[in-house]
Amino acid sequence: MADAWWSVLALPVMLVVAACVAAGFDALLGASAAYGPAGSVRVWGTRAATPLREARRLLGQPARRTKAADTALVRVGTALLPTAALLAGAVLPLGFTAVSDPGVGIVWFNAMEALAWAAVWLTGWGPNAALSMIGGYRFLALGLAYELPHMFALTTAGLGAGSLRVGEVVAAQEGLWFAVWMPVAFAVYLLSALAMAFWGPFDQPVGADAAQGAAAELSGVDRLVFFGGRWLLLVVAAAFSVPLFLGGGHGPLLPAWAWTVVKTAAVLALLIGVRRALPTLRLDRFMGLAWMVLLPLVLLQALAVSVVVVLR
Amino acid sequence: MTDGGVWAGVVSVVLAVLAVICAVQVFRFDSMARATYALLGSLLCVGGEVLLLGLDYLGVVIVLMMTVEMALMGVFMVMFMMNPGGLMPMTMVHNARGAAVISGLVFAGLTAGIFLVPWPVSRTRAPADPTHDLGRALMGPHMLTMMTLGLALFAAIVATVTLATARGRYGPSTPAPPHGPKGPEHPDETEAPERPHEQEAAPERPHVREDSPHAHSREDLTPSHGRQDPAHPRETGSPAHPHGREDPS
Repeated sequence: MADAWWSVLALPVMLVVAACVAAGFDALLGASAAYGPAGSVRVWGTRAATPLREARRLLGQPARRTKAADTALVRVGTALLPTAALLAGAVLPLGFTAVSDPGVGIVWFNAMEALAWAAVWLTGWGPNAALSMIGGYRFLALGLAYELPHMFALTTAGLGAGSLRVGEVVAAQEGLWFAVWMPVAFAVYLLSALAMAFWGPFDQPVGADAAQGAAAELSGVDRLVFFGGRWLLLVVAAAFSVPLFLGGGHGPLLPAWAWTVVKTAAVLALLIGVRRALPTLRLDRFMGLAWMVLLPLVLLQALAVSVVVVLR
Repeated sequence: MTDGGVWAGVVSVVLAVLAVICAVQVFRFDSMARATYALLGSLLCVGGEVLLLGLDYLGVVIVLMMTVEMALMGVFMVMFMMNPGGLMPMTMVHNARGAAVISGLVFAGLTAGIFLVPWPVSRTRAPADPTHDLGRALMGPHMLTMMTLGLALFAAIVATVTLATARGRYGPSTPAPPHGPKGPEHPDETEAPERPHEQEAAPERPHVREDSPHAHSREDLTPSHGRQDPAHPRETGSPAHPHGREDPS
């Protein structure tokens, strides 16, 4: 996996395309649920292009300002969300190359994804509006709930490979995927992937009960960047589960990059489907679940993996 | 090699200047939110400097820890400091002249130290994988310290969360069953004459024995709460919730 200079340019393009496809898939699911299955290819295409039309509309929408808003903080917050996603994506092995494969790749991913804490809170705080601020605080509560189980899930994968380098984690799964013998860590990672993109059952930070919470006062380009950044974060979180737990590019017949794409698409489809299957979880309930159930479980998983690593 | 060294130097200087600018802004902003995140910006630059030194793990961990820490710190700053939103004029600086003198002296001292101290020259080569060596050092000779520290910190976190959540310290948030005519069965009535410390305790909470024996038993668990709340005197007779906190009705 040699580093290639063009991957720096290719990565954002690929991630944005993947985010557009994922958003289109989500729009298709939503339209099918609301109006029934698409009758023709034309209807299908129109429905799938809904996010793109929405993006174009937002580009032309005049900005709406709240009174005494801290616009600078809003700008920093909204721009930080896609930035964090792109930086976290820098350690993704794409099957043939990675932008970078540092020795501490897993920690790097964790650090960049944690920037979302700052991003969502700043976006919620800046507009000087109550519901928006509530949404920002909700993300901090969500972060406190998901972050520790998430960290231990990442640690467990690194433990199994004996390295924090993503490339070596992939190499360690040539025979057996980590998802097979670390099922708890994999499940916790998937939950935290939902949480870090405040998606599905964890969408309270932008929940409908608070008029879209942190995003309530966003309009125009700010809104596009914020929700686009959220899609990027979801894509990156789904894509990172592939090298960590699903064997990366390893697989029969197909080349590595194709396996990476297939596995990423499968995880992404699962995460998008989960939103339609599960209701929004109240954050205080999730806090209890995360600290009293998930954290002990994932610690036991780490213990089991450590014993296996020491014994073999 | 020298080319890379030059670039590292340039990046280092840029990061250092940015860190100082952000740090100065912490004291110039008039909003807690801005001050907090200016501090975060400064600390992220410091993390970048550590990365430049080749200490990848420490640098990235600084970025991770400081981001999460400042995100939470912002909440406390907004809670406890004046003018959280930056809507009124305020200043982060107090005793401006004295502070300027002290910080100027400290800065001069530290800078002088940089140039005056004879820096030791390392006789060993830099390790190939500093992360590995760091792990060896922490988990080898300092194992006992780290384990004790980790356990203590984790216990503190769990205890704090338990105290902070509504369902932790104060029990379930469902309304407690009404305390009806079960009063005479309460141990307080029967045991009261036998208690040696009853004489000292009585003057402090005279209303408890007279009107609300149930509140007394709860006060035994959390003695500070029974007397602190003048807004909910026991005499008015709502003994089911002596803490006055978690009653949703």
